[in-house]
Amino acid sequence: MTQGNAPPEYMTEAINRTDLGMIVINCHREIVFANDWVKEHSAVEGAIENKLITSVFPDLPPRLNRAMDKALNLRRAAILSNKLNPAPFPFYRDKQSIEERTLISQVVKIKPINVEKQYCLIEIIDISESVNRETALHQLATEANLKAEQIEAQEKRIRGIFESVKDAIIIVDAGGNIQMFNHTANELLSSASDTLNNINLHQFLKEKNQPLSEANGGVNQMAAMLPLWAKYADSIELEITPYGKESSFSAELSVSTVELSEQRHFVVVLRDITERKQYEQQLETMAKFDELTSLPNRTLLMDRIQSAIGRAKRFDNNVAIIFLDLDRFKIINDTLGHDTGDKLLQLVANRLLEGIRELDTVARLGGDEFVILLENLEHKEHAARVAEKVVSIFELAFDIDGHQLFVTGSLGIATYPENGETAYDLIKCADTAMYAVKDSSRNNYMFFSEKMNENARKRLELEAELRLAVKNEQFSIVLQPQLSPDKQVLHGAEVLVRWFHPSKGYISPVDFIPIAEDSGFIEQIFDSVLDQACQFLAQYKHALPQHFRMGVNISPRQFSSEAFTKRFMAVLNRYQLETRFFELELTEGMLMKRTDETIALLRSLVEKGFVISIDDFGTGYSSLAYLTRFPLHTLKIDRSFIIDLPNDEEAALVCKSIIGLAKNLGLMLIAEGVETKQQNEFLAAEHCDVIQGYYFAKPMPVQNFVEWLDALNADSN
Amino acid sequence: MQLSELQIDYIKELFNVGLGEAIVELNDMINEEILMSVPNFDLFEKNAIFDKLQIESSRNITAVVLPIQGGMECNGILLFPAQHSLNLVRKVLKETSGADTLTALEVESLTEISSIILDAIITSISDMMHVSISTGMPTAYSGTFQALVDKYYVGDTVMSVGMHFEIKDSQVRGDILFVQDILVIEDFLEKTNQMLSELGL
Repeated sequence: MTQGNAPPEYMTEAINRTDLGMIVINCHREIVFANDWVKEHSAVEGAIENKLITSVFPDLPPRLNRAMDKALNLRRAAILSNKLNPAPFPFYRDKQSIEERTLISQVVKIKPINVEKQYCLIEIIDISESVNRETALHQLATEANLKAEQIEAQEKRIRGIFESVKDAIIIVDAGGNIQMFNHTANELLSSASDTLNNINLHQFLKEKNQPLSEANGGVNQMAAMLPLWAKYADSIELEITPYGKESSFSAELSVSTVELSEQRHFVVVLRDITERKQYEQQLETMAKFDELTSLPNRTLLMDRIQSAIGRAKRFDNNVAIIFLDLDRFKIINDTLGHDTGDKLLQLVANRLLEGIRELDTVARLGGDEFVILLENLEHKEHAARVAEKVVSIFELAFDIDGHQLFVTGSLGIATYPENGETAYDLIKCADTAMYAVKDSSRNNYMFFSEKMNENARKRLELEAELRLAVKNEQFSIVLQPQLSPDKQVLHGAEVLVRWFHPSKGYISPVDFIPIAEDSGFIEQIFDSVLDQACQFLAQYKHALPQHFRMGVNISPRQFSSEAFTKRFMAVLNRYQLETRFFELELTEGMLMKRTDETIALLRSLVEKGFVISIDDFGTGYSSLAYLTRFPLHTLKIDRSFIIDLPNDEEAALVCKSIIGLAKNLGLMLIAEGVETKQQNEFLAAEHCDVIQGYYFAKPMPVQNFVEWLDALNADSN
Repeated sequence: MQLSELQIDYIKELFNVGLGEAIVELNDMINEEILMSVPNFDLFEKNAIFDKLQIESSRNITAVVLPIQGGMECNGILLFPAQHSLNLVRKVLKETSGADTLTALEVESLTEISSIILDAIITSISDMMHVSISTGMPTAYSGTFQALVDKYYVGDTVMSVGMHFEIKDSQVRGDILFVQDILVIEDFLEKTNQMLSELGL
């Protein structure tokens, strides 16, 4: 600038005092003017006027250089924003900033000035404060955004949980109006979305099938109930009717209080418990009813008997209990299989139900035991009529898969108040009466009497005495000879057991063998019998015929035991006896059970040299076809067929048939229970092989048998 | 006013070359590749502007206005739908979060970017017309489209250059508009024809 054009002093002063940096360059890019701001804020030493701007500030960005060129050559203005060009010029606030190299944040404006020549004005605006402010604001905004994102994520998570919960969650205001609900709630209560909003909860709820309707003050009631439920009830079971639907479902409800926006709300958690209820019902059914027959089980029966007794007490009438046990059901199960047995039980259950009044109960206690409860009886005799009817239902065959099955039942009757005051007592008495029927005739009924209890007591007594008898070796053997009908040949003898009771004398095997079988003493008794038989053989075998055989009765209980053969052989070894001396007498029932295993066991016994015979032949249920499958040697025809010989034609016919059968199968035949000369003559005529019975000799103690043997030998000599 | 296809192609190519320089400058500054489509070119009456640009008059827009003097007295305007200006600036500045409106410093940057683009177009025009065109300071505008038109459109004919930027998978649309006297436009087209005939087309 020339002196002549010098501006007034105040203008220079004003330009120097402004907060802008101002630089003017000429078309050669020489600095022609810079105000004080520029000098104060640059770290350049000495004067800068008349120097090239690019040598004073060597590191200007290309953008700035281009803008200056355009301003000088094309007269274009330009702006360099701070964000894109943070500090084009090396300007500093103060000395400390220079040391720290902290540049002033700038906006630079480039303006062409066209007077006589082309100049360019460069304005440098310090916007450090704005930048700081914006940075701070930006940081705040970023933090706020981050927080908002976190809150959003959290809310999303909570919402996710809220929505995925399988229980319906409903948030209602203090009046019960629905404010918020999850997906499950919507599905459970309504089909369309959003329809639940602002609906009052009472519209869905029913208690004991009564809606909490408007008429009942539903809304008010709701407002009153909610705090009570929240405070006092863990859960409430209610019927729920979904919005716009008729049908309802069972639900469990739990309510808790929550403060939302400083107002009291309630969180209602609702669960569909229809399935659970069904399951509970099923469990109850299972607990009270028999699965096979759908009849009440013991638990339910006991309940009903007890209630019936209660009613009978009040109205002064009678209750009767009929205990039914099927006869020989075990044989059906064993021979025809459990499936058949089960089907039979179902058919029996049906016939029983048909035969009783609706008021009465038929229950199954388990196995083949049924109980009929008769209520409100005027006379005891009515129970007898029902029992007769029950006996008669067995007259017709039961058709199972085309098989015609005949079965009978034994019934015992007990009555209230005569036989007991509790369900347990009545059942016990009826059971005892039923056993009395079994012991006598079967297929019949009996009323309980005290005498029966007496018998049961005796049985228990006997069992206790049996235990002592085993311990004290009170058992001895007797031998009954088996001879040819002409008495010329001694085949052998059957070994029978006797119990000599110290105070009661001899007790019949008929009385104690069944008890011994039940209680398990039979094995020890058998051991004793076998031991004594072996002693006899060891001592007298020299005096016996070469083919002499001892028949020993084998109990079903022992025969199923695996140790049976081992135990038997051990005794024989001890006495150095051969197996050929022994004929094992089995019953038909034993052969029919678990056939394959039985055949295997019998074969192994025969291989060892034992002889197998069937005892009491003709009384059981043997299938003749089976006879050929077993390795049998002897049939022992039952005494019941002999007793009516020879005059009874039917008995004679049966005997002839059995003898014929034995001959045809190549089996030896022994007739038991032969008592008269006529019987012997008949059997001799039919070529029966061997005779056993009083006609030739009673069962004798060993010593007597030896004497009898001597006498026999003397006779034949 | 009807333009031949040849004229339009020529003008488009002209602007394309000019914009190419602007892009080089921007790329230098921001170290990020900016792609720009070949601009569209159109001429229409001022009162057809809302239909032509398909921007409702009441819509809020952001614009940068560059006063032009010398051989072509008018306002050069680069306008963006509001969200597009935000996208452009944030992408260029590599800012990921922030307020949903431009800050003062961001507006300044938008002004700078826009003025570089406008300057490039003007350079192309002045080169072709062999006239000197100077510019004043660019300023930012924010408001309704109608208010912008009322304030800055002094002529009756609109010359429009539509552009699409693509920065980092983001599409930004902008329109450059010059509003001026029909005579100036005719002069411009006259020059175009001269150039075409010099090229033997």
